[in-house]
Amino acid sequence: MTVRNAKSWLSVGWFCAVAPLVIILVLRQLNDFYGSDAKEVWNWFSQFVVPALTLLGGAWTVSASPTDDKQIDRPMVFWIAVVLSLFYIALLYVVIGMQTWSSMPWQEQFKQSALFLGVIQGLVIAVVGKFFIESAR
Amino acid sequence: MLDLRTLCVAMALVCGPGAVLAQSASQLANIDSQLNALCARLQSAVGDDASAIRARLSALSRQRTAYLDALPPAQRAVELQRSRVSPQCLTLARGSGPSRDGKRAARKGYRGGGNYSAPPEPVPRRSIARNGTPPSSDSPSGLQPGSQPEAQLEEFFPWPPPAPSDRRLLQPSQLGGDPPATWGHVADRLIALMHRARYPTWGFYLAPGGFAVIPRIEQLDQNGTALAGTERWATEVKLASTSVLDGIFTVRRPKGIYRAIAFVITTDPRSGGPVTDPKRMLETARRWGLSGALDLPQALRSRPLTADQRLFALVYEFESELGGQTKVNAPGRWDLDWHFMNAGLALAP
Repeated sequence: MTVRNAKSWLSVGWFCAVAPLVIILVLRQLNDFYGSDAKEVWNWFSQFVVPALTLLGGAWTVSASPTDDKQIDRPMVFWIAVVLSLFYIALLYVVIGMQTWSSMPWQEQFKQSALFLGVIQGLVIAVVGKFFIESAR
Repeated sequence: MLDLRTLCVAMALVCGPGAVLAQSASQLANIDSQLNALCARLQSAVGDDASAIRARLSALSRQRTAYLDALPPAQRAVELQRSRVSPQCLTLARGSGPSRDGKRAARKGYRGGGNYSAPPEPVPRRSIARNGTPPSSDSPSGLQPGSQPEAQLEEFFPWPPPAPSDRRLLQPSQLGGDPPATWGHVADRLIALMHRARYPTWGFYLAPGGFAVIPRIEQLDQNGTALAGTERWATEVKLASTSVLDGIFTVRRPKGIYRAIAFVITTDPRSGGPVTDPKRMLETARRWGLSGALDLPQALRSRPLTADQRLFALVYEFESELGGQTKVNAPGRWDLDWHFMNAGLALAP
């Protein structure tokens, strides 16, 4: 697999996986799911989704180079990035899915989820970042 | 020789009663003005404020009674003629807590005058406020849960109950059969009515000058129709699924709609202001039909219905989102006639 293909798959995968999340959150806000306190929702989104998207978008603009056409040197890093990304995105969906049935207030759920999402997001960004940097060399 | 001591004694004999009278008049006027001010405030007060005002009214009433009792009869009559407190306020103050003149106040009636010096002829017990027992000081509604036989019933609600979703004045004859003559007759007919509507349980509670009976809270669908089977009595919203996958794609918070109906026979058919804490109110309403007495105590059953008692029905509609807000619909989404028809509570025209 070429570096360009790997980067494309990773980036497109991320954007496609996050798009429904945005739509769900928008629909919930419009249906008063979050009441009058919807700011908390978008704070959570900015904190746990936007950084990864920014990294991916930034990598495309900054690290575009002739090396994109060569084969990836360390496929392991790429696959770890993919698996970790999938796991992280799945957790994001679990958090918003649990809000529907849980008797715990949604604000509290977001607050609790921040504890583990913060850790996993750090790992995801580290691995994805490593892949983009290494592939640019 | 007219010594200084003799002069002082003579002056005291001449001026003393006048000074004492002036001082006492001022004390009574002070109490009366405080009572009037508190009664005026009580009309717009709700919740804890109302309770605090009633407690203060009760304390002032006791203070006034003790003060008047200590006076010689002739002076007491003069004092009472100068009294500025309204009879209604005085009655309210006496009914707000334990007082030494509670029996007299009770004989004079819930809304009767507060003429301290003219005890009327005893009349048969006609209401809680007239039963001749001193009201409880910790009872914000002026009921007497600590007295017999009312002690066997819990209070329905700190009176007046909050504004319902809908309410209706009913005639006791609408309960069917011959016009009821006693509280027991009314209770029996209400129980029969609830039996016919398949309510599994209900609770009897104390209300001013009467009682309240409340069947178990019911869950409704979005059209205001009671859910079928046992779901009707579920106190939590019925969920089609609880899987995370379904939860992800749910953009509206699951909402339960509940209905609590209260029948109240009382001499004080008022409703208060809007519900201030709907979540707590719903929790209370969930217990109404499950706690409380299953029937009226025998001593209350034999009490006669009087002309000043009114039978009315209150309906409270609750909408409670799972993990979200709870609200009481006031006014309700459906009227009382719909609720009665849907619940199977068939009243005579």
